[in-house]
Formats: sequence, structure tokens, C-alpha cells
Amino acid sequence: MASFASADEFTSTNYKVLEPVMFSGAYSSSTGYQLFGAISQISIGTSTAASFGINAGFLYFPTATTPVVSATAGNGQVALSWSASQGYLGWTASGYNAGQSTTSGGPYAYSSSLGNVTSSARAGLTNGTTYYFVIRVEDAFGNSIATSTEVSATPTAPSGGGGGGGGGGGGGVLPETAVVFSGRAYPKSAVTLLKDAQIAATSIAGSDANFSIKLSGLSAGNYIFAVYSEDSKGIRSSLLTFPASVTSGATTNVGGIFIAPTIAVDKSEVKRGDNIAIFGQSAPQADIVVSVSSDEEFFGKIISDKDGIYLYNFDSSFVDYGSHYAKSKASIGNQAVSSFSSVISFKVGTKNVLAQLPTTVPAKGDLNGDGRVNLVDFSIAAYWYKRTLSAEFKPKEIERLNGDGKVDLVDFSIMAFYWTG
Amino acid sequence: MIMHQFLYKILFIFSLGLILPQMVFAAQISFDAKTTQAQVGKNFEVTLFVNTEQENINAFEGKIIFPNDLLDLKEIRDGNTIVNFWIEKPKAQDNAIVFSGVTPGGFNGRNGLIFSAIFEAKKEGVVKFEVNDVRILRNDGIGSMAAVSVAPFEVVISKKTQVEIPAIPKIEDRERPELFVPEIARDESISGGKWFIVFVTQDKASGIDHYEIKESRQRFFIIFQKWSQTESPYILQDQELRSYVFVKAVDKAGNERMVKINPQNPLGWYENYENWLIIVLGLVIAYAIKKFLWRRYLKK
Repeated sequence: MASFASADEFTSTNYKVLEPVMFSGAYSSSTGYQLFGAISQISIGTSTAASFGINAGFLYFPTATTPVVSATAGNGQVALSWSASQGYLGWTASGYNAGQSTTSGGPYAYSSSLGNVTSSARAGLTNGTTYYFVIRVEDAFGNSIATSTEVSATPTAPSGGGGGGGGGGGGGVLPETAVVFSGRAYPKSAVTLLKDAQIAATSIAGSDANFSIKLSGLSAGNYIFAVYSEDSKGIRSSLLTFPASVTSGATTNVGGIFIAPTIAVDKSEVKRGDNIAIFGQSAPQADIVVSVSSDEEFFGKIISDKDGIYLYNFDSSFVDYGSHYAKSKASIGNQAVSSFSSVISFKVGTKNVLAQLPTTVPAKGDLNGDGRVNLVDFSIAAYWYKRTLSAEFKPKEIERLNGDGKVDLVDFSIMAFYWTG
Repeated sequence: MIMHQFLYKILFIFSLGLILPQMVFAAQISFDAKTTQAQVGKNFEVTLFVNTEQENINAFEGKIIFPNDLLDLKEIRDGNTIVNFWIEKPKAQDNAIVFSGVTPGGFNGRNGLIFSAIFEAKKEGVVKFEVNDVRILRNDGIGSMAAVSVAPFEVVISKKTQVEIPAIPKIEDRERPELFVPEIARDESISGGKWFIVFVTQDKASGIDHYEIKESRQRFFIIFQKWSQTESPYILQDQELRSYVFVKAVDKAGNERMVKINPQNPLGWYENYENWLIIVLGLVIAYAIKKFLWRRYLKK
């Protein structure tokens, strides 16, 4: 028997897998065979990578995160803005296009490409009609690589004004300035909304992981909003931020928020050849791609259960001894692709060491030890900015900041990453 | 078989080498103005933007150099900035504007406004705006430095311009700064563990000008106390936390937002002389009424 075989055994009318490599059973612990690796390229016209990458497994397809979209109705128009899409494995978001429909779910009429911008005003709309919009992400060749969740807005004629004569009469009630946020977190999880980095509201997601938060009493202007959630084990997600422009007297709908999965491992050190469980929570029935970074990047794919829980057993024999990193992302159909989760590390060694669940206390940045990274910690760091550190503060700087014996921009960047509000 | 494994490894290592170089992105700092012409004696506004170019960034610092023989810095506006917390609020320092700040959670997008500056053109010449010591850090948990490019920007100052220079619109700001919730905290590393108060808020139209504070154990007589201008963090005078603390945010248009923080250890009613004054005053009034009524009764 040959020690390995190459063939183009997998074909369909849509695709063909060329030359998968099979190794003999003797090479691995499998009694049959083990698919060890494959090399292929992304089809021409779908990648902007200057060179190409190599990854093991069949799951190294490029993806792009779906944008968070804001829609604010005006007089005969709707102002759209969206967060920049992040491409992976060769895909680069090079432009955007807005799809528009008067029917929820489409079909959507697309204009010509808007270019690499993150806002657009859709004019010439009929007041009183609800319009539905999606944002399509395009690569450098104009191919669609991701499409956002739909958001809606109803243009309205300005109230009051005009009209002659007549006296008296009370003034009308001014429409409120508000923002409605909607998206997916984890089933029945607590969702925290930050407005310009300070906690503005909290909510509980439904059993389908969907949540909606309304924030009113805002001023007109540009805001940086952010959301995070905590899963059923108390593990906090990474922070998802998106800028939004708020218009006076209008309600802005922000849709397509998809909080990245949480992630944990069952072992801080795994004996090479044993499995390590990589798990966390996302939306129910979501496709979860787990990435393990080593010299090369390995991918695994599973589907979360009805509670959004996922568990992926990674065979550590694929990687060398040493430290490795895992992260995960979720997608639902082609309609929502989250960004990557936080990164968690583990070691491949000679023994198994069980891991503690990630604590709710941020790994860095929490200077006053209250389990949060917020304005108090920022103020403490600001106090020591460009000053000689005291004997009391030096150990904190080493433990909770970057440990270079001074407080500078890098320390504030670390705090900003671990920010909880 | 060993040979095949060896060949496979060789192929793999060779292929890894092809991964690099990856595409390199650089965040771009750029200036913008309504026009690149300015007239002697008139004001013009220059805005500083960042385009992140696929990077998620969370910390910014730099120094904008301008020729102070040609320009006079009149005002800095940061009402709609993407920077949530200034470490060093943009301010003039000789012929430069220095700034540093952070955006928790990061910013990834185009035309992120950092701040704008209004200059008065003093005399004819060509103004080259430069950015020195610029650092933009990634939102990656270790504060790694993003590649940065700076787009050059020039403004030509003449005695008379070919095009009409638009006047800088005055900011119509009738809204108060946003509601905020100050927090009282302590830490051994600040002033030997003394209690301090932290606060920050935004004003989207004109930006925050300054904060004022006053603290008093008396609830009513605090209105006679003077405000003092301050910055966060502020070391509380009353370390027993028995005082009411009022913090006022004032925007650049003069609108004010005041918030009150109740004492964590309020005075007992008998410890507050205000209460005794009220009791004495009440007794005096009661005595006067009684005396008045008694006199009326006697007259009848």
C-alpha cells in the first residue's frame, strides 16, 4: 500500500476538490486513513491577497464580517451608515453597495457601487413608506462577499411649520431622538450597551439570542456605541464597537449586531496527541468556525446547539509542542457573520493540566481590582501618565498593564481593549 | 515512507514562505479644510481625520506642527470626535497642537474625526501642516503599533484670495452637555488611598470646555458656596464622605449640566446645623403665630 495517495476524488457539478492527500493508517492512530492536509487556491477573482496562504483542512475559505447598519429616516430620505467589514484569509472589503426594497426580505434594488465608504444617503423616497435596506460588501473585483442583516426606516415629512393664519393652539410634541439596537447575542444572556465607552443600558436576550435595546435622550451627533454579552458561564465576549450618527428628532435603527462567540478550553496544557476541548456560546444553531493558530492555522467547524453552546475537540497531534492560540467566529446562513472571539491560549506539552474557566475579571487593565475596566481605571492610569511610578503602583503596572515601568499610550491601549465600562 | 514525510515537510515549509509578505495596511492621518486658500486676517478651519484602512485602532497621539509666524491658533473643536477619553486634550504648545486619547473597543472606519482647529491667517505665505511623533495603536490587547501614513496638507495665505473664503459657521449649541454619572473611588496608588471622584461627559455640538465642583455637608447652604474649576480625578476634601458633591460640566457655548452625588455617610439629622436652624426658625414662627393669635383672642 502506498504511504499516501493523491486523487481528485470529490467532484460535483459545482466544485471539485483537487488532490486531497491521504496518509496510510500506520502514519496516524487511525485504523483507516487520516486526511492530513490539502493545498489549494482561492478561485481567481475572489481574493485580493498579494500572495497566498496555506492552511490545513477544507475550511480555510475566506470570509468577511457582516456590517452593523444604521438607518435614520429624514424627509424623503434615509441616512445609512455601517461599520467597516473585516475580511479574512485573502478577502478585503474594498467597497459597499446599498440594496433597497419596500418589501421586507427583498428583492433589493442595488445602485452602482458606492466605493469604499461607510455611509450613504438614499434620497427620493416617499414619506410614510417603510423602506428596507441591506449593505453588500464587495471585494476589489466587485464581487459580493457579505451582505448585512436588513434594517428599515420610514421617511417622514417634518411636522408643524407652514400654514398661515390662525392663532393660539399649542405646539406639537417634538419627536424624540433615539436609537434602537437589535442583533444577536447568546440565549438569555445579559447584553450591555456602551455609549461613548460608558454603560448606557443593559438588556436580556431572548431564548433565540435576539435582543433589542432602545436608547433615548441623546443629542444629535456622532457616537461610538459598543456591546458585549456574558454567556451562561459568565464568560464575557469581546467588545463589538460601531460608530453611529444620531439625528435630532429622529429614531435611528441599528441592526445586524452579531456578538462574537465566547471561548474557553478545558485544559491549559494538553498532552500531545490528546484532544483539547474548545467550547463557548453563540446564537443557537450557528455555524461555528474554530481557528487554532500555530505555525499554520487549523480550522474546525461545528454547529452550536439550541442553547448556542458549541464544543470542538481539537486533536493536538496536529500541532507541535509549545503555546498555541484558539479563537472562534459564528455565522448564520449567509446573513450574519460575526467577528472573531477573544483569543485563548493553551500549551501542547507532555501532560494534561485542567484549565480554570476564564474569570469575569479582565485579564488586564483593572487597576482598582473591582472586576471592571472603566473610567476609574482610566483616571488612575491618567494620574500616573508620564510620572515616576510610586512603589505602590509599580507592581500594578507590571501585573495589569504592560509592565515597562511607565504609563504611556500603550498602557491606555491595553485598557481600551479590555474595557467593560 | 520516511522519504515521503520528509518531502511533504519540505513542501509545506516552502509553501509557508510564500505566505509572506502579506498585504500591509497603514492607518492614514489626513487633514481637510473647506478650501486650501486663506486670506490674511481671516479665520479658517482645518480638521484632522483618521482612516483606519482595515485596522481596528484604539489609541492615538501626535503633534501637529504649524508655523506660528503665519498662523494664530484661535480655537480647538472636539465636539464630534471619535476619541472617547482624552489623555491629553488637544492644546497648543508653542507652534504645535499636542493630543493623545483612546477609543475603548476600537474604531475601524473612514473619516474618523479627531478634532478640528481654527486658525487666523496672520500674513502671506504657504502653510505646511505636519504631524510629528504620531502613534496609532491597534485594539489587540498589547497595544502594538499600527503602520501610519500622513497625507501632506498645505494652505496658501494671500492678501486677497481668488475664491471667496467661507466664514466659519458659529456653532449653534443650545443643548446642555450629556447626563453623566460621576463615581467615587479610592486606590492606594493615588494620594495615599484618598477618596477621589471621576467624571466625564460629552457635548456633541461644541464640546466640553471645563468642569466645576463643590462639596458641602450642608444640603441647602451649598448654594452659597463657590464653584471651583477642576479636572478628573478630583481628590475629595471630605474624606469621610459625609458631603454632597456637585459636579458641573460646561460646554464651549456656556451650557451647563450639573449632577449631584449624595453623601455615602450622611450626617445624622442632629449633626447638621441646618436642621437645628430650621427647628429654631420653626419654633420662632410657631411662637409668633401663637402670640399673634393670643392677642387677637384677647381683643375679642
